[in-house]
Amino acid sequence: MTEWWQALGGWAAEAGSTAIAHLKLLERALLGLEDSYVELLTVLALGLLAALPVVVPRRHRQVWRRLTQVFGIFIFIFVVYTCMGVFGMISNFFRGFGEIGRENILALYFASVPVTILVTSLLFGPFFCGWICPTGSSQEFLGLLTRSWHQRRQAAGFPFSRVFFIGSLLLTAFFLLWLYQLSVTRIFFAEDATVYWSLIVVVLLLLMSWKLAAWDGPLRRLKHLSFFLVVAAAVVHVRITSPVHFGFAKVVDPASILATVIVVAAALLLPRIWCRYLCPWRLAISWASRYSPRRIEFTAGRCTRCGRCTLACDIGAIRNGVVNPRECHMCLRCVDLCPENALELKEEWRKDSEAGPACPQ
Amino acid sequence: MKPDKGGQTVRVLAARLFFWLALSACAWPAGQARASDWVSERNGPEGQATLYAPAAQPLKEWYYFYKTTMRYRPGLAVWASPALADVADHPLAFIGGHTQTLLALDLEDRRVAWLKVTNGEITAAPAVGEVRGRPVVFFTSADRSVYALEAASGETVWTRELFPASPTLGHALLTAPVLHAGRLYLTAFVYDKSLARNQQRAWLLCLDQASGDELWRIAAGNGAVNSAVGFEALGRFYLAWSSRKGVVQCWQAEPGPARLVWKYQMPQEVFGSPVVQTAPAPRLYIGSKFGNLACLDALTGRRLWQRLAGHWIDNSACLGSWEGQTAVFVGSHDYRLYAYDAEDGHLLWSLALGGEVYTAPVFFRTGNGPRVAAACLDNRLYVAQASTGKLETAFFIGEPLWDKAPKGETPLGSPAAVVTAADAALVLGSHSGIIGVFPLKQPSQFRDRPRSFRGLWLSVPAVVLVFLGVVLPVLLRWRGRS
Repeated sequence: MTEWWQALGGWAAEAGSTAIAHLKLLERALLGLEDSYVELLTVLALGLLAALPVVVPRRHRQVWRRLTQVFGIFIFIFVVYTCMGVFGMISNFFRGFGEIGRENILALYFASVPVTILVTSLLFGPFFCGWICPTGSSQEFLGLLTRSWHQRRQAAGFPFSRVFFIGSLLLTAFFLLWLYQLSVTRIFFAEDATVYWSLIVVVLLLLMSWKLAAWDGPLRRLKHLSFFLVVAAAVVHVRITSPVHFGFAKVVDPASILATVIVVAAALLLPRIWCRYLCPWRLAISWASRYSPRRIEFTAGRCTRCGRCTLACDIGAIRNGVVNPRECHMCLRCVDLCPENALELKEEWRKDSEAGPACPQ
Repeated sequence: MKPDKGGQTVRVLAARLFFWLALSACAWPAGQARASDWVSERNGPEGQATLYAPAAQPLKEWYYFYKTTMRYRPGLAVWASPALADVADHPLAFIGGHTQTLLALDLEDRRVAWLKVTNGEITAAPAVGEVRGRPVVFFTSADRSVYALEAASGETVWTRELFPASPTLGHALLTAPVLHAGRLYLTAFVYDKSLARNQQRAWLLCLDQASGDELWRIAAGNGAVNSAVGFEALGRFYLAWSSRKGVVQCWQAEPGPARLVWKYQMPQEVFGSPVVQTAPAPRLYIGSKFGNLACLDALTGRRLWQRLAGHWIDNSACLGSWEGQTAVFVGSHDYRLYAYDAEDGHLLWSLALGGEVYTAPVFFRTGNGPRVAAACLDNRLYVAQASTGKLETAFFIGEPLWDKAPKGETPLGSPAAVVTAADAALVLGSHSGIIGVFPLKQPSQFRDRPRSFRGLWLSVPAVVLVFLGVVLPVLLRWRGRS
């Protein structure tokens, strides 16, 4: 019996030392990732958040989404310094990509967040835009103030609105005055080109006073140009800061503050205007989420044409009950508001499933 | 007997001549300015921090990052201002920091000539002087000691612990040494809040430059103090410095026992050191956190003029002269670099930069005229024409190593300049942890191209025109295909 105990003790001691050795190995690996733990936590958090839309009860899903958006603003502005806004994520991706094989820790540091967002979009759809993105969330929160007014305009087919036009003029004047004040008090660099994006925002608002219904679709392709410009700048190592970048910057970034204020204030007149027309990262996410097994399916037989889903969609991605997957932000408001369950969140993880053609071949 | 008027005149003249000769002879030891004197943290009393090196070859771009083999970081790489000196025909930069290490960087060969590890942070610029004809670098450390090392080799000449250690001792703040006529002066503040060994006082200390022996020390106010500046006037040597509480004081250091000459209270805290214009009459210039730049009579402390910048001034000013004009340059937290006429304080020009100006400006003369440079919290080092305020170029100096640093209260170093026959280069220990040598004419990978006011406002309608004239029609036509 004693020998048996001794053998058991020896085995336990050996197993313990092996486990400690393995822990040491893990510790060494983690120590090697010094300065990157925040990014690792972000990767983990994004993975967990991707599961939220299907885990939380449908009845309270929008409450959970709001909480996640607040959390997203907090985590991206106060924790994830490598994000650097929508433009910064693209340039960081290139920087991290270039460091692979040379400084792998740096590669992880810079590329982990954009790669995680792309991979989770590939797996779970564009939930990042609807649930986490701090730029989109800021616009959405401010847009809540004028949502009912916007929905009335939408129901009427976006006719010319004097309020919209005067608001656009005021925002344009505000932008130009602030830009003038900045131009006499500081020097502008190439990285401050973010002010041109906010300039285009005010120009778009002025145009949309008349032409929102007619030009909404074609102008959404501006995202391609925006994406091309930011990627080209990243490739030639010209840094362009983006709206909300000032939240990540370690020094005051007045140009980014100006751009952020304009983008967020413009959302009062047109919800998520940045996401609709200019966000380059939105384009990348829509490309990735094209292959996602998770998508919103429309059952035409159940639809009563009540139009709730169309009005509920801030981004204008629903026409006649059909969700445009290229524009959808996966906020799931349409799904949650549909009284007939004509819109449903579906997932198809196996190609031979009979659940329908959710995953394009 | 009629008085001999001619003889009387000669005797009076002779007596006066004898008197003035005798007075001059008495004042000679104090007034003898030597090449090895180093009278402020920025070398001269004008705070220019410029080395005119005899090297014919231009300095090349160089970025030095202090890497340690230790698993932990021995303090943040917050570099103090560099001291530049020509040692054995090589321009060397002596710079210390929170890494507790003083580095001697050979700017020509781009290598570390030597380094000295101390037991405390080095927060002030060193001074370079001579001991027995050999160049020696003097610096202070938060380990309460003054070090004198051979400038060429780094060998210790002497070290002197100025305050004894005690278990309750707080932070020790020893400022930049001032070298004059074989003596080393410095201000210091060592904090001990215990009842038994309570210390709140600031000190002015005088050491023998050759041996490090302490000659005298006097209590000079309460609280933290900034580096002193020395200047000569009327055959005497004066030291002036400011306390963080804003009290500027001037002491006569030589000849005889040190005595307080005057005190002046600045509005709000002062984080910089005074600079002094010695001719025609000694004048002292200093800025405060309230944004005031004051010009004082350096001998009486009387205020001659005062100007208000747009925001904090949290570093020293700098004086520069060209074509009979003397200007005082100062940076402010309102993103501007100011140039005031030193005579009456009228604004010569102000230049809008990209961020809060946190360093003292550096003034230097090149073949193309005088230049002034300063670094900002937008992570750039700017160079402008000193006479017109026209921006010439800028260098990216890297992102700060740490964030949430309290603005205006962080002892970040200021740039210094090396001017050779072919080019000029700026040396700065950046808050990115890198010590950079930024040549003005030579290629530099971190050279930035700032955009002008006019260029920005021309680009705004240009972008709108391109959008409306090209992008929009293409997008609308694209709609037809989709």
